[in-house]
Amino acid sequence: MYDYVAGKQDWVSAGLPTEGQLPSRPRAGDVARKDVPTCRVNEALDEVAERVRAAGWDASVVVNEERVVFGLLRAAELAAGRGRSVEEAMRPGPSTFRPNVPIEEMAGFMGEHQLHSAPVTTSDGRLVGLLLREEAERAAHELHHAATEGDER
Amino acid sequence: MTGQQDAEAGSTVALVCAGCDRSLEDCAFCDEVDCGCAVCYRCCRAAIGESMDPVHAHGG
Ligand SMILES: [Zn+2]
Ligand SMILES: [Zn+2]
Ligand SMILES: [Zn+2]
Repeated sequence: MYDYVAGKQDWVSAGLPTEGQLPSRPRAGDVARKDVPTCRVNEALDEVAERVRAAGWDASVVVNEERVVFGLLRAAELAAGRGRSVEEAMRPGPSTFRPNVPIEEMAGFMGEHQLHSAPVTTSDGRLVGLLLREEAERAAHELHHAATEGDER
Repeated sequence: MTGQQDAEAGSTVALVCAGCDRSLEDCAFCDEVDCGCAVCYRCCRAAIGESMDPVHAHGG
């Protein structure tokens, strides 16, 4: 689906230790996809849906000019039909999460609640990225393995 | 888990926080009204380390 490997790469780029000691725990903000397609409330839904699909995504975050999150379009909303605006179709005011939430917590919760994606925002509501459940779970899993290997040293 | 479906038409299904039994309109984590493990905002925040944002979609 997505040819992106979350996990260690992100820790490296975040300047966190990856060898010789337990890695710092990756956080929601490290794993969240910064390249999630965004759109505005007044855009036409079918145009956005086409753009999102062309980018290989099935979700888009609705933001204003300051990247403050207003809503979320997941696959169901994106498929909601022609002639509608983003505002009419979006899920308004989705729950958003801070970048510093530990990835294991997010992965666990997202699995439990069957939540496919969760917007990560700064404290003033600006979009950091969209956290995808499969990537959160993968990062949490790698963390678990890293911790196990660490114990054997 | 789907026993509520008969009643869904007009009536609101009673949703209760799995952590504190408070009644909810929707799950604070996933925003679903029929979440099987719904949590309130406070319990959700406590569970993920006090770092979830409050919802403020309406810039009014
Ligand atoms: Zn494993
Ligand atoms: Zn609660
Ligand atoms: Zn839920």
